[in-house]
Amino acid sequence: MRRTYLLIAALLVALMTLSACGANTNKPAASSDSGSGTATQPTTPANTQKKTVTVLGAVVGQEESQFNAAIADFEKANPDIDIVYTGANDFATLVEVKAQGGDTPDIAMFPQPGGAARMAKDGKLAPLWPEVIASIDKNYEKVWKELGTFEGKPYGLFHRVNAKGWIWYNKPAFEKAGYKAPATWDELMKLVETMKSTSTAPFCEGIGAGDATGWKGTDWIESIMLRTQSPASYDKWVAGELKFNTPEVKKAFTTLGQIWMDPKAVYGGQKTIATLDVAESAKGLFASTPNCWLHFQGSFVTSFFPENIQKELDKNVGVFIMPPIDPKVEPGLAVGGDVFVVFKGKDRPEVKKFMEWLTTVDSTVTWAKQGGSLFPHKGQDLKNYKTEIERTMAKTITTAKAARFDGSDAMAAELNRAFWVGITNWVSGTSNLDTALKEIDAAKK
Amino acid sequence: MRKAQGILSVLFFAAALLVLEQSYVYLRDGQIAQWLRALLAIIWGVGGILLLFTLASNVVEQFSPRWKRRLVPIVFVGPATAIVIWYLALPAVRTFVASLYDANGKNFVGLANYIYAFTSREMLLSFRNNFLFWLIFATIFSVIFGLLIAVMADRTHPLFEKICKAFIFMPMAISMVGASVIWKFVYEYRPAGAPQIGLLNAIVTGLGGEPQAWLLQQPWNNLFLIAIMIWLQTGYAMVIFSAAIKGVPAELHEAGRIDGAGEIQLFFKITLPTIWGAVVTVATTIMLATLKIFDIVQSMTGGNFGTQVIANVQYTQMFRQFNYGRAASVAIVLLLAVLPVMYYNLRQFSKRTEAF
Repeated sequence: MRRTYLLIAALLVALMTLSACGANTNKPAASSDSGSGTATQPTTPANTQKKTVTVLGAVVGQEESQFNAAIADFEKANPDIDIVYTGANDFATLVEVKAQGGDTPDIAMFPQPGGAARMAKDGKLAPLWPEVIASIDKNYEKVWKELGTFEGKPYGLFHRVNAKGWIWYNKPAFEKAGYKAPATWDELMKLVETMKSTSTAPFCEGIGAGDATGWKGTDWIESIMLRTQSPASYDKWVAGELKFNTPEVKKAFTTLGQIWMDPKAVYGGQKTIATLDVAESAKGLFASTPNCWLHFQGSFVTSFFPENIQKELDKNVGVFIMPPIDPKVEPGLAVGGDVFVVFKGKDRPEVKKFMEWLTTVDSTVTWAKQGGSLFPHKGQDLKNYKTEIERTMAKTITTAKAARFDGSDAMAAELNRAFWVGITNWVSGTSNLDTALKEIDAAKK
Repeated sequence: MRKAQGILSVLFFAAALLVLEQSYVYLRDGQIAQWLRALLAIIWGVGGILLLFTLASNVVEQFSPRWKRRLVPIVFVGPATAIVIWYLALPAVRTFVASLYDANGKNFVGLANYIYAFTSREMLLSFRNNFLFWLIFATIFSVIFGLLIAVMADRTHPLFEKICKAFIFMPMAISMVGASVIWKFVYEYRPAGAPQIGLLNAIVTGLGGEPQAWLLQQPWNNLFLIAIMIWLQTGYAMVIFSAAIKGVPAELHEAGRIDGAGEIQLFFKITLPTIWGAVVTVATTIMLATLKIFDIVQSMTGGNFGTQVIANVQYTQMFRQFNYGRAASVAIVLLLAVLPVMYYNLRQFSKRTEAF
């Protein structure tokens, strides 16, 4: 018995010594984690006083390395700040879990401002600093500040953005056939009729995207709404005040139906629209025997094209914006992009410095030069973009007065999802149009 | 002396707790190499538990035999029970509470979320799919195929049996999402005239038929998803049945044959009743999996085209619509649906183990 006790006592003493050492080193290390900026890490002198800013976003893959290259510019100018970006495919889920658990990053980039708006409403975000707001006022059109304003306060800013509503075509084939970009919706429909008589379908379309299937369809409806309704009416629709089952919104669906529901107007008809993957459908323009003449998609579509097409974009690809539908309505531009917000309690000086830098033209240069990304900053040098197509689109974006955020992404989460599901049900024949519209409305709490 | 020893043992126990807590803090924040930290953490975990149990039983040793008998189970089963309560029972209660509150968990809404869970089209569709399609078809076919293969394989050359079973068991090594990726290619649809890259449509068009969008054809698309589950679960059923069949005494079959029974009669009158316990266990286990099915639906159709299931509703309510109340109520409904099967499964299991 006695021997056992001695053994245990010896063990305990040994453990206590160990933990005593632990208690000493513990403190400075812990405080450097909390990021107060004053702590030093004794074992890594190279990192002395380096302040870390964590950023969480949905930008992954090739775009992630482009973003990191842009960040490197900032870090070069501010050697004392280390920006750590984490890209996550399941960003929407992850940021939710982190916010619930109180383990938030310093900055989050919401691809859907609805998510950021909800966080702002729950008091989880820090409003932007007055200096940053001033810089936004100076460097952006007013619409971008409004898009980052939730509950009446500016919380978010935009950096890389995209614009939707473009119709893409295979330039050599399109020109060889003698087609011209249409200036009105009626001209577009006439062009579709002409194309229907060829062996190639007018449009390639696919809205498949796992459990987000349908978002591509919502883009169509939004661009049509921006050409048939006043901006005020569009805003009411996004806010959930204008119901789906109304003549205004139904008209947008039937307008789209002129293309989607015509089995000869879309490659493979409704079945293909419902099942084909979004990125896959874009490739149809450049198949060895092209599947279609036209493809509707946002500015980001170029990354879906085959590599040899991307290499010589200006030679291979042509683009025009969806033509006006109602002559009385000045077409608005549907835009999208990640909104950068700062979490509550994370508004440290180094975070502010990074956010302020994002509003400047300098922050766009490196990323624009790599291609595939557009920026809304005023006074940027369009020569930085690699292709004429990007220059055209960037110019459209920077000068857009009547820009509206991608409607479904800005809607309340339950309405956004119901919109996806509803349009998928409609095109797959699961519900007829009236049922689909009613079901979307029913999702609203 | 006895009393002193008692106090000493309690003190040791308390000291050990303190030391473990402190060394935990050291391991978490200390500046040590990653491999050393991992090694120390393992020693901390395994050694710490050993130490705590030794010291705790030491404390119990000091009591009178009567009290000792009462306390020993608490010392040894108590921590495990506490962990289960903390990580399982309490969250379940909290989920139930959340199910009575609104989307943000702020306002009490009574049973409103349960009205959604039992009357919305999405949930009614899920009930149909879960109970009518998944539960019945996936379970029955996995069991039948498993049984068939186990019986057939039992009668072939041992080497051939091993090879066959290895192949059929292989899908078990694939995750449900992995299996879905494979089967997406099987069901892939391209318009008529275009080269079919999906296996099934390649066969159909090869035989002169029209290509079909398999995943769009309601309600059959549920069966196409269930085929994936059967493909995954047959191997599991087969392995258990195979082991059970090997345990059927050869004398029983001999006796049956002498009495003039045919092979089919032998199977239904002798083999099946003998392994019935295994059949029930496998069937209930697969039933549990089908009620909770999520991965296959999420990755194949995302719940679109009439293939929605309960677990996917829970996921979309939580992570797409951020409606905690509804998500919680759906989780509770799923829990209630699973409980009877689980109870039956456990009862069968304890019956069997008692029988042995």
